[in-house]
Amino acid sequence: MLGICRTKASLTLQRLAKLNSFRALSSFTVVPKFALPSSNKHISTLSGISQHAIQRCSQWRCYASASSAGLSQDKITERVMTVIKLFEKISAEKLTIESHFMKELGLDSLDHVELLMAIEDEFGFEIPDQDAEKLNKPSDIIKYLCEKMEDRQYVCM
Amino acid sequence: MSVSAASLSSQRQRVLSLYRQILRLARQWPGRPGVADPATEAAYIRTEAGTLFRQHKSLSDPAVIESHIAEAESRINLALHYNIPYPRMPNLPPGCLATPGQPKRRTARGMDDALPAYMKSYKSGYAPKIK
Repeated sequence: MLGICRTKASLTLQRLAKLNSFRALSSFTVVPKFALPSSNKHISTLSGISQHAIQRCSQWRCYASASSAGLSQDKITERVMTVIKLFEKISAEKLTIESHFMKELGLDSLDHVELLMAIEDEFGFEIPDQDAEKLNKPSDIIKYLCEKMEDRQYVCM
Repeated sequence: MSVSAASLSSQRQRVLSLYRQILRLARQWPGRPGVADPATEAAYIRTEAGTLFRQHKSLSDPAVIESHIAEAESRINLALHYNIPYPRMPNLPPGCLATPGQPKRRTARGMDDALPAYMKSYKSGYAPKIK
């Protein structure tokens, strides 16, 4: 499950190593978290390596540790349902994962906008308008968030 | 009076995206340091938008909806320009709407007509009820 992140990190570092004859890096497959800062110092003294590539490696490092911090499908479900329950216009008894916001829970479109803003606040990124109008049930929201997290190299288990 | 479904639904989308834009504005509201607390003003923006949008949510005439959309857009632009979310209230002292025949009369209709576009929801001394 973390294989995607680590493979990409190792590929980039292998490419960097080949470019600059830094043979020590070219044969590793797993980079322990604490090792990367010191190898960053070595890399940055060599010419021709972009800061951007180094930053991307450390970003992958962060994502690898964050995927254990609450972005599996269960955790996403839990967070989404908590946010929806805290929304005062929804009665918690009628709420299920498949309940439709407008038809079953009696929200109007303005309440729907406010609910999606609360979810944006919780997860930290913006949902564009065309996607927002399709998210009519909690299950739609959960599926959408999983896809978005995958796009950004989080992993949804 | 036939109204095309396409125009109603595209208006609906514009209204919802305006509401979304206002709520996003409230999230990042800078306030005026030393003068206005950002949290208070952000709360005002949210309640004001919620009240005004819900007041007019059952309108059906596209021309009226269009004028309310213009009202929302002008309030957004003014808030962004001056960094003040509150509308500038009109000052209509006695005699300002005088005509040669009626030197002292200030009618409710005259005052409503004198309101700028961004005050359309505040007619005749009417202030929206804050929930």
